[in-house]
Amino acid sequence: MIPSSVEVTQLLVAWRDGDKSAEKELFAHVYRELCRLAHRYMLRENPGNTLQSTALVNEAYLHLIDRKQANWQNRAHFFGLSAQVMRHILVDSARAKNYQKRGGVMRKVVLDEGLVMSKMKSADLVALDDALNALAEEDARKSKIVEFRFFGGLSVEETAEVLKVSTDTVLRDWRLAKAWLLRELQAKP
Amino acid sequence: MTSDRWLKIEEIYHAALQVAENQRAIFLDQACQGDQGLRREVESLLASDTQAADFMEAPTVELLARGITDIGRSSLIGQQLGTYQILSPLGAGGMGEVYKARDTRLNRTVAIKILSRQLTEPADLRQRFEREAHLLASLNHPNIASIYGVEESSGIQALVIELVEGPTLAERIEEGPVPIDEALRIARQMAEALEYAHEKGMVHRDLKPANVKLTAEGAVKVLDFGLAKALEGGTTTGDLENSPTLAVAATESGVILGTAAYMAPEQARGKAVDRRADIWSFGVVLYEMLTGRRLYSGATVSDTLAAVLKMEPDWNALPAEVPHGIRRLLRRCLRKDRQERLQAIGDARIEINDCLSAPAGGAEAEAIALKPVARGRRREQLAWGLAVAFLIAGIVSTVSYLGLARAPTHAIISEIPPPEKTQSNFAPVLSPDGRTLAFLAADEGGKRMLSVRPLDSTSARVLPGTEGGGRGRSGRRTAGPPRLLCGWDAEDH
Repeated sequence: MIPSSVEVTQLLVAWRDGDKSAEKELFAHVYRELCRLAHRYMLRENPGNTLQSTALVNEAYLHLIDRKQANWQNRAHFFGLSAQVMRHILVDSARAKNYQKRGGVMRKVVLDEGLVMSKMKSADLVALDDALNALAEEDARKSKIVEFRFFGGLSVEETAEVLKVSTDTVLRDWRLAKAWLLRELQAKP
Repeated sequence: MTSDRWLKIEEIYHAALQVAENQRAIFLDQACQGDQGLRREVESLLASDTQAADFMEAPTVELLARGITDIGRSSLIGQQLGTYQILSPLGAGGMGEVYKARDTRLNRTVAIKILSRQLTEPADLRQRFEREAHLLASLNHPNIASIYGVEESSGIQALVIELVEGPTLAERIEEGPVPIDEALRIARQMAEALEYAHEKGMVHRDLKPANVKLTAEGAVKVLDFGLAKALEGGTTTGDLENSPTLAVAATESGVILGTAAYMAPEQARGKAVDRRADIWSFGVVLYEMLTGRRLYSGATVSDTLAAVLKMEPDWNALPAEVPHGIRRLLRRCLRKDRQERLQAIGDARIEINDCLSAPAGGAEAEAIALKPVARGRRREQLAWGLAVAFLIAGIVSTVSYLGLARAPTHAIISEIPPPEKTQSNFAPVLSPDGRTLAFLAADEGGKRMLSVRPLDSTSARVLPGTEGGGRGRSGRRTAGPPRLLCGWDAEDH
């Protein structure tokens, strides 16, 4: 059933303190909430309008988290988790779409123009996901940083808070990760 | 696993970024110490770095909603939902989750709006939704898309709606401003739909161009009547409903961006809504049709709502040909205080009808260019005769000055009454674009003010802020560069 905001906040705090079992449950709640909000959004809006960046996660956050504990650290962690959830949803749907379009054969998906910025519009979300996994094998932290920043819309400061590193480190990692990923994506036909 | 080699790559890469580009080759030679593989690795990353500036800098949140909907949509096509067979998504990209479907029992095509499971999962919400839907299904009007019923099958709840083929008004406006006559015909049908529903005690709550369909026959169908209310309460915890924050209040009632622009101020404040909120939205839509642009817009929901609450409409953006009656109607629809607003949409219908039945499509007088037929009456004074002469001279000189008349300046009206309760004996002057006439007028107390009047309109109005002053203001129109109303001791801003 629908958890109270206090319960979700407890899960978040536990996860923040390193409790891995809290993550799965939290993931499920956030997934549900983001789906609910996104559905509602799509129900009422025209495709021409773009959803305001991070508005959705922010709404989920306001909804799920106990306001007394809605400090910015908790917010950052929540956004970090949402980033994982969103990557999951997006890549899954992209894969499903590929699969259907080609009668089961995986195929490159071209994202709708204007949805993502210039460099990304011809790039493939699925390929990015694969490249991110490859990057994680080389350097897990950089992969996480991309997940937080790109899929979650976290700021540099928020990313630093979730990963407990300095903002300088985040900036350095982000720069290298971007160069690395772009190179990977361009190397593929 | 972070390998030593990777750490080495990282170290050289960041160090190389600090070195000027023309020095990098030398730097890399030294740093890589003959390890060609390492050097190639760093070089390729540096090459990619120069292109990566914008790469992934915008987060993907925008994709999320679409991604989710795509999953649902692709799996529903071809499926049977009760007696309905889902045929195809409606519209390019699909407006929300709406499908074209075939009613296999009645053998007709319908539109089906799939409701999110999360929205209607709790039993009380579902019941409430059904109650509302049944109420809405009782609306039966040629300008309202009918609701046929609610369908529930294999855990999916859907609303069955009359299928209306054709573009939405939003799509029509994207092509540019709607000609006045056409805009008024559309507005009249919208007003008739609202009038009918209001009489039945129902409020639309979410009137916007995207919710108005235009059929090939010229008929207008208003969609989603009252759906905003029926879907309200999708909030699961409800503790945000009392939130004082505008943006939160707006998003909680499911309104994001697009819709906020058409919200009445009281709606934006989260107050209870009545038919006067529809009248406001009607005004916003009519304004948008006539000008071809959004009345209230902002980068974010809060910016948009702030504009709705505080900003006065730019009346100068209305085309000069918009009749006086329609201008007054718009002003009345768009009063922020709903007590002062037009109270019944029927009055809008009457005004529009009057304008549409007036000769020459709303402009009560239309004269022939360069042929001053003085249709004036007894009270016409010498000054006004002069005014006409001035005016023609003005147009001739303006047209020749511009070489090409940028805007059609064909309408000349021979009678130029000053604004109500004022008198004028001053010769008018023409604005540089040849479309607006400015002149001095004085009220009964002798207080002077600057009046302006679009040439092809039949009435003049006092330019706000010029009352009692001896100095004028520069008039600024929205389209094109600022245009000064000349000859009037003008003060530039």
